[in-house]
Amino acid sequence: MVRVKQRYLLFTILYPSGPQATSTSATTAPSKVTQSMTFHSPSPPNLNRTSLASIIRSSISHNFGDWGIGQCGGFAVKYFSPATSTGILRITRDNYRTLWAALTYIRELFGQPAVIKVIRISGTIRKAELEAVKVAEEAIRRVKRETKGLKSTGNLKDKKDVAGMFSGGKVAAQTATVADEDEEDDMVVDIVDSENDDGDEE
Amino acid sequence: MFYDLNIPWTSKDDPELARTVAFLDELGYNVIALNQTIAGKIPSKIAGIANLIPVSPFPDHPNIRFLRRVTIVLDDPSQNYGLASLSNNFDIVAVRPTDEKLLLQACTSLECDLISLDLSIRHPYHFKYKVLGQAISRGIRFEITYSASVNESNARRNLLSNATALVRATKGKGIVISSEARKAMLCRAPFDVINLATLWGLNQEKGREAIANGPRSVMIQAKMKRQSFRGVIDVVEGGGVPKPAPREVAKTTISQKASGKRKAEVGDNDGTAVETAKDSPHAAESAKLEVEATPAENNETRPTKKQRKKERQAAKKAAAKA
Repeated sequence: MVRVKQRYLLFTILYPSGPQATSTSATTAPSKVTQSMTFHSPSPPNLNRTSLASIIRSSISHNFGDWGIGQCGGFAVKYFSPATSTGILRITRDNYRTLWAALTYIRELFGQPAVIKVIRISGTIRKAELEAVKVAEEAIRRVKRETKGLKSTGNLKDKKDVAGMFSGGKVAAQTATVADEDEEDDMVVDIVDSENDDGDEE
Repeated sequence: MFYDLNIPWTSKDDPELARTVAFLDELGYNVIALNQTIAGKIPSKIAGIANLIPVSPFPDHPNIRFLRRVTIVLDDPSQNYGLASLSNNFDIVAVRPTDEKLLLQACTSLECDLISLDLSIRHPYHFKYKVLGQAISRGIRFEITYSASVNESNARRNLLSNATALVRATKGKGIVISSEARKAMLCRAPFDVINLATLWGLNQEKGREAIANGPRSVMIQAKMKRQSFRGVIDVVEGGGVPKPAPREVAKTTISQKASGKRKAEVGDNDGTAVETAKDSPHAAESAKLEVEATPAENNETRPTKKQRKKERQAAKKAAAKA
């Protein structure tokens, strides 16, 4: 019996219109520090694994019709974190390009302009998870670097904005460093959970 | 290095353009060409077309290199477009032929760097290799712009059919993919674009070439046409006696005789640049080189010292024995 080969797509959602729809803090023109994190805002609260799956399915059916749904309707959203807007999809190996194209053609999520960027294609979910952690760490390092640069100019309000933006507004009142560490832990735990889900299903 | 050779220029103060550029930076593009389109009746003195785009439009993005491009919409075969004179003002000169005759003219005779067909509408003719191949053999590339297909369903259909036809007719050679995005939300990340290219019949390598190496050769070829002697020879550096360099740089050049790459880097920093800007990356680089250089010197001398010591000890022993 030949094993079914799968592909795991690690993706992140970028919001090119900026965070004005989700957070109240950064409505004005983005300052220099928020420039890099402008597009990495948390997802809308009603975006979860099931709603994301239905959006992707409708995009497949719009672009590739019944054939597309038949070929790659069997994908699964293995993990999605609304705080970091990162997720992992599973799809059979032969059809991953079709699914990827459907992701690329998604223009908006719940009325907000969105761009889905695929970061990595992997044959095992483990490697996709490792890459997700790596990307999150890199993002945290980048924010820290930039807030450090800002500290010297003494602009602390924006620092809080960045923290709030990155962690889904949950810990916006706290300082940037604490918020970031929380975020990282959250992410790792989530990934472990999703792995357990995987085991249950199969 | 990823290239996006078509971002329509509006004005310097346009927030959407600034946002688009910032978003492209975020997505991982390295070179962006800002495009100025000229349509309709062209004045007889074409050299008078001013370049509205400033040299460094967005100083906030130091990682991105900006090019300035002009696209001429061709709609009259009898008109003489003095394209060669345009290349003095712009980095890339592109043409957009509107019918088959003009496409043939653009492929065979016009002095342009890029042929940009509007693929989001239906063309009443087929692309033939006989025509397109002439352009490819002259080093002119064809541009596919994808952002209209992201935006609208009808454009998506037309683009799919046109791009597939273009890829078939050119056999996948000489294709350049760019966005032509007027909004930030219409841009896509480089690898997502490569994946879209696989839908048009390009494979992964050719798709990558269409967004990385292909645009690069367009850029370099345009530069060569503009600067060099008959498009063949270009003098990169005037040569002559080098300026008296500061001491640290001189040290590195002497000690780094062996490695050719470092030598080239040192050659790149002009003496003046290092002198004036101590805190610039060049200065840091040369300082780093100096640090690297000293252990290298030690390595060269250390064995001989040891040997001498050994020799001395051996001589002492021999003397004691005697």
